[in-house]
Amino acid sequence: MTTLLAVLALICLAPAVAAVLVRNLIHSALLFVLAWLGLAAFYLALGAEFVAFAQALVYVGGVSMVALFAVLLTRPGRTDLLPPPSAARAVGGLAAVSLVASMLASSLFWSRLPSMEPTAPIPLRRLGELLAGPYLVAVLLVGLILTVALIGGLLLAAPRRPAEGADA
Amino acid sequence: MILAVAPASPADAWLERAPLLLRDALTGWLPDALRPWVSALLSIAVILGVFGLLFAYMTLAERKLLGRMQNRPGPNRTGPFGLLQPFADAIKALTKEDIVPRAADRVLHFLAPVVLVALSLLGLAVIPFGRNLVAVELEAAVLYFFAAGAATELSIFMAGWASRNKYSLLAAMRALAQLISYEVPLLLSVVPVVVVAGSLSTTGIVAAQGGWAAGIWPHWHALTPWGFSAFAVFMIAALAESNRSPFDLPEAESELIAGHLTEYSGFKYALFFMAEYLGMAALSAMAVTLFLGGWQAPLGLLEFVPSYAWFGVKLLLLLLGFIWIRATFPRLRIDQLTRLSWKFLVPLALVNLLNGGFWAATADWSGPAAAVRWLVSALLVVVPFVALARSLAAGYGPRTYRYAPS
Amino acid sequence: MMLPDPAATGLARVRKIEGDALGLRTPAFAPTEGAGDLLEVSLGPHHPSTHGVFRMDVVLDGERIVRLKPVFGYLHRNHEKLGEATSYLGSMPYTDRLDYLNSMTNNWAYALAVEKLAGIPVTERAEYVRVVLAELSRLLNHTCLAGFLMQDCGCSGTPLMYAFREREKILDLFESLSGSRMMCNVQRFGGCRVDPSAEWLAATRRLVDGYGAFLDEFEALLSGNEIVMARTQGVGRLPAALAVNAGITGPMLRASGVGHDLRKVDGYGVYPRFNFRVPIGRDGDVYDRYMVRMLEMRESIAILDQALRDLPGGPILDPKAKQRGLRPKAGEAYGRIEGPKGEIGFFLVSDGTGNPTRYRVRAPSFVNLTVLEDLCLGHTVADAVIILGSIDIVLGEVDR
Repeated sequence: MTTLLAVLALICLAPAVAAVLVRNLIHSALLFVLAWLGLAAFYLALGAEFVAFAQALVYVGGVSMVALFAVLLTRPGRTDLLPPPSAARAVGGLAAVSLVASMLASSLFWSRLPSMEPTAPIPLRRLGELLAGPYLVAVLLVGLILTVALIGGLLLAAPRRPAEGADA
Repeated sequence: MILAVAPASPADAWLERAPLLLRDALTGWLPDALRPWVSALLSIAVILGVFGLLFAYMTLAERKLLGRMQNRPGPNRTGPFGLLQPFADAIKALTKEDIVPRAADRVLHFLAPVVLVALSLLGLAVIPFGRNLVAVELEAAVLYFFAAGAATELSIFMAGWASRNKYSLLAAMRALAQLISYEVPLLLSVVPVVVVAGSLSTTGIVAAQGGWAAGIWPHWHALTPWGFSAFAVFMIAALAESNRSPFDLPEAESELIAGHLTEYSGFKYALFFMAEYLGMAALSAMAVTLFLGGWQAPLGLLEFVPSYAWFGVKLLLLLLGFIWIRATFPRLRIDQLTRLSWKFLVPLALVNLLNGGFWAATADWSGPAAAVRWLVSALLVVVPFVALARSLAAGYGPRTYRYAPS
Repeated sequence: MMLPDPAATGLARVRKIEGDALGLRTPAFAPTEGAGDLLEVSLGPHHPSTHGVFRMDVVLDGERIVRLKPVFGYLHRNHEKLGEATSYLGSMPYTDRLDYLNSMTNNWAYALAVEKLAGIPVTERAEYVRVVLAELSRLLNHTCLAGFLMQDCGCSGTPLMYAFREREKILDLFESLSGSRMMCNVQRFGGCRVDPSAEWLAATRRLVDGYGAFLDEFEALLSGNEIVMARTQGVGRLPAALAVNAGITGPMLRASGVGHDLRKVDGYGVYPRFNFRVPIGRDGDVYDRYMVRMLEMRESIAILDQALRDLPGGPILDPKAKQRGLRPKAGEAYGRIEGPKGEIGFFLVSDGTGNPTRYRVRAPSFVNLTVLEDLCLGHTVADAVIILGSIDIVLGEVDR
């Protein structure tokens, strides 16, 4: 099980790291897809069939498209292609490192790692009842956040044309 | 002979059990530990073989039928009736030079067709081709099917973008827009089926469609008002998802040369074709499973025909429908394509969601109540359809013409 | 888009031609503020939908066309200069190659110009045969055009194959009459080279009688099709004022609502003796251009019906009419007819020798093509393809 975990972690992390390092944005997006697929495989290894397929369907089928569209439709500004000033890089790097460190620390020290042994899978029907019952608010909130993100993306990508009336 | 001694249950008929008997004969002598592995490999081999051949002969059938519909014979030189044409094409594709543009992204250019074919095969694993013929039994099989198919658009994008060709790039953009738009109605049209059948497993959904109302009317989902609506939405979205005419915008021969395929040649080009036909076959097989009763016979009398034969017949009928549509319709424009999805198919599928819920909630209505149930369900299909179609077709219609005064 | 009203300024058209519409200078593309990346795509010269070796340099914002530059000349063969170095009769077969779908009408327009120049009368039977051949040619041209247009719309060949089935029948007639399917070279000064036999006329009668059924079938499949209507209505709108200012002729002009048909206006040949109507459109979009042609074919059938009925006997060509070594008196003449694509005209200047000193072709395809950018701006690539298809060009005539 540990070997499997290591392989899966590699499948998840290697593309993610590569996605940050490559300069080609399309390559980054495609590498992210690979990382998301790795995550789906991770769920599958844990016996969470439904979540794994949902992950593949939503991320590989949907989110990746949106990401690619965003890359293709937004035009890099003049400053976007230059390396940012070193102060900004330092602050950004510090923020990233501290975030990752705190997440690692919290998961390593303050929470009990769940066992990797596959437990009996929750029946689908039960899962549905859980999502539509106790977790309904959470599901709706996630949906709301996604909608807001989508609208924000639309606003970013939409070309700022003069109003149609002025154009005609 | 088989007819003379009618077996007690159709499931016991010799022909029905032939594939299983064959499998047992092939794997019976193996040690127990190996048997599941070999049997899984066998199902993979069978699926590859059957659908590989289906692909080969679908291309021939398409060319023949298109030819016949267009007053020409179609390919008829290679072998009797042109039956060897697919193999000649395969040899040609294999021996052709594989050209990669110098500016292309070589890795993605190579990966795109490979990923596409691999992914279009994955979905076939959960289709119940017959009473006991399903390669992988999954509880969330329907979800798996669409998850496996979700990345096909990604490989079309990869092909278009990696070619570094402007036509290909335009095709890639079109593919993205098209596939995002049609993924939504495709999935939404499946949800009522899941609700009514109460299962995400393909075998469960097929089992839910067994039996006949009044002995003659099969309980297939496509034969109920909500099911018919969902079936229509599913097939239209499936046409779009498999890039077939009238939704073949990424390929758009008369506009974008060959779209994302412009810079592909030889065997990679053939792989794209293979993926197109496999995807079409997989979606049709899913439509048969979800809406047309899967392997169930249409009449009790006809149950002596083995279940996989029924499945094959239904699948072929749907595939021929794809070809017929291709021979008939012109292509939509990209804005009309997305409008059709977002302003017509998605609302229709959403209303249909309600309709499916109503159908599931009223499952125990009988007698005159059953008539009310059918009526309400039919109204829930017809009224939104008419209203949406009106708004969609606004702005154009047949015209009358004047003649110049002489 | 930024299309000035040509009727208001009167100069819009002229300014456009002086600008980059003819590709005289490479336009500098200034992207509008905040617009997406502009993509310059070359559609052609090797493109399935440019109907020959023609190129459209389009600049796209997404899929929307912001600039379009027609580029042609790939098929230039010095036609007009050759005409000055060739005898009057020698140019006749060259005219076949202009609009190679309609050698019949090209021949006629050229013969008409020479007959005017030299004052040669045409025999009665030849006038009728010319009408029959010209209307058959119109059927052929419009049928092909409809097939090609539907192919451009994305049909997988079915309408095109149906159209070509009918085209073959007409080409068979041409072949049995003239010996050639497309390069017919039939007309002579004062008449025709060949006299149609009774069998040929009977075969033509059969074709004409069956043509209405083909049109019914074709229109049942396409004219009311939702996708065809959605694709073509409101696309590539040509306002009547711009059409007139730009010198557009033929079905394209009539689709914009101007009832101008040389068969009625000039009344050349024996056309005034026939009863036919001139269909006109209202919106001037691709659908109107398609439908006007479909309706014109029905009128052509009516004309053919009457011409075949009334065809007189007598000689097809006056033996005294001089063909070889023709030396018209010094002067000039312009002969024009209503070709299937519009006004096809020949302008000839004679100085009394065996060759014209000036030989000029007024090619309808070329003139109609000049408004391409105006029609395409603001539409998508997919629209540009069908707009070009609806203009109906043949590159042999555009480039000459």
